[in-house]
Amino acid sequence: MAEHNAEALKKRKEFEAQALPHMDALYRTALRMTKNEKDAEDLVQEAFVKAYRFWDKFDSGSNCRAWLFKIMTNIFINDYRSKSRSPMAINMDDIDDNFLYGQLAVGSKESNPEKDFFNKIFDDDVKKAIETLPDDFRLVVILSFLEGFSYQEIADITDLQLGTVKSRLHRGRKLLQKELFEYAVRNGYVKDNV
Amino acid sequence: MIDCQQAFALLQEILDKEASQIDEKQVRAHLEKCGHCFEKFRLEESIQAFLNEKIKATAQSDFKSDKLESLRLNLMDQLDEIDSECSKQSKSLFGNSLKIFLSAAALVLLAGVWYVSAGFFTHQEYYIPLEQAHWKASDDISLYTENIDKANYLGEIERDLHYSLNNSFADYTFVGGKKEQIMGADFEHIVFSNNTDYISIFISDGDTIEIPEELQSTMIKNGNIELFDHNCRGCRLVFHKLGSLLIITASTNRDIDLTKFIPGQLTI
Repeated sequence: MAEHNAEALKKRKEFEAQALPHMDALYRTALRMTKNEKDAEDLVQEAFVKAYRFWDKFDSGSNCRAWLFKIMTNIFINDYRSKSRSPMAINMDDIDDNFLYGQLAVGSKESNPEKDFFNKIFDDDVKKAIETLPDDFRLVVILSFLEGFSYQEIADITDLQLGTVKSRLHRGRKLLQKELFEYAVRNGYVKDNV
Repeated sequence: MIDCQQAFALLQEILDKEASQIDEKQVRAHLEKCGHCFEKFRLEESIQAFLNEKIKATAQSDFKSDKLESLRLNLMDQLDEIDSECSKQSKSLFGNSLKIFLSAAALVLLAGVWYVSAGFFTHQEYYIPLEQAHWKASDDISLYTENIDKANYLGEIERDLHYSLNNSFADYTFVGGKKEQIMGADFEHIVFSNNTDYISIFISDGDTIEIPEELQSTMIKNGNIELFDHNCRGCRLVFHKLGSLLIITASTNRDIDLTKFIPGQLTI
């Protein structure tokens, strides 16, 4: 029994030292995934409890942060993701790859045509634009843009094919650009191309 | 030498810093010669840098450090509970991955039920915190399967509650069950499974429990059954009001349409 307690104590110490420092990153991402504080807190709690229960399955030589994100993403996909929005429901045809480039650069006399555009985008717009993305796209966009995971890491975390990660990231980026352009126009952005 | 189309094909990798050194070098060489591509890449990279910065900045400003601290303390409590659980149980339990899966599922499920009970039933004087009353019992599915005679168990429910439970529903079959006290009332907790997901069904003579006002707006009528649909904390819960019976179906898989999962029928 004493031996067992010592082992349990060691596990707890290891977990606290290796996993807990990633709590802020997980919470930050959970906020953007779930779009509300309550769910984000629950999601992070559930992820850490699960991680603790599975701690003996964690390969100590591997990347703990990615492992924790995988657990959290899994719970998010299974339990939190809204069912109503599937990536298939989005019509991607109307998003031109060069949409924002065309809007900003073509015909502009400015050397940095994006400067006025950036000035018309407020922090809240960026938050809203991210939250407007359908869950599947938002997930890879956050993992890439916010957390800086590589394609391969995102594929491991989300259990998606590398190609799917790339295409969702590509589409997510285009959706985001389009959304932000609309916000900028609403905030008074006028193209200087006369 | 690569052309505009080939350069453009590598744009995403460049923006995501995933392009190989060779590819990146070739693209940069192309950009030096092609003004159109140069401007396009410059703009895209500038937008990407802006986005990355803004996304990080807004995520940071949303962040409340006191919230993180309370999260951490909460988690410590939960870990303490898991630790004390483990020290009481034999180690062999944790060598079995199915049981670990089940305990994780039960944990989430009970957290969900507990939340509903805490959030919606606190005004009721017979409220009992589920996390104390049922935590350990529900960690282990064997408690729902070992000590019952399956056929008799369903018979008893029918005799006591006048409710006849189905043996199976769609691809879910009856796994086991036991009596539990939830929210101060006696419930039969019956477990159905399709080997992947678990559905818990709680049945009580509902005279003691009222459907909370907050759930009234979710009511769907299905014949003589009133259904109240609710999602919380990774759980989907549907409250059925049938005569004097209260039946709660719950699953951690929110995609299961529990409003269609009517586990049985009244026998009078």
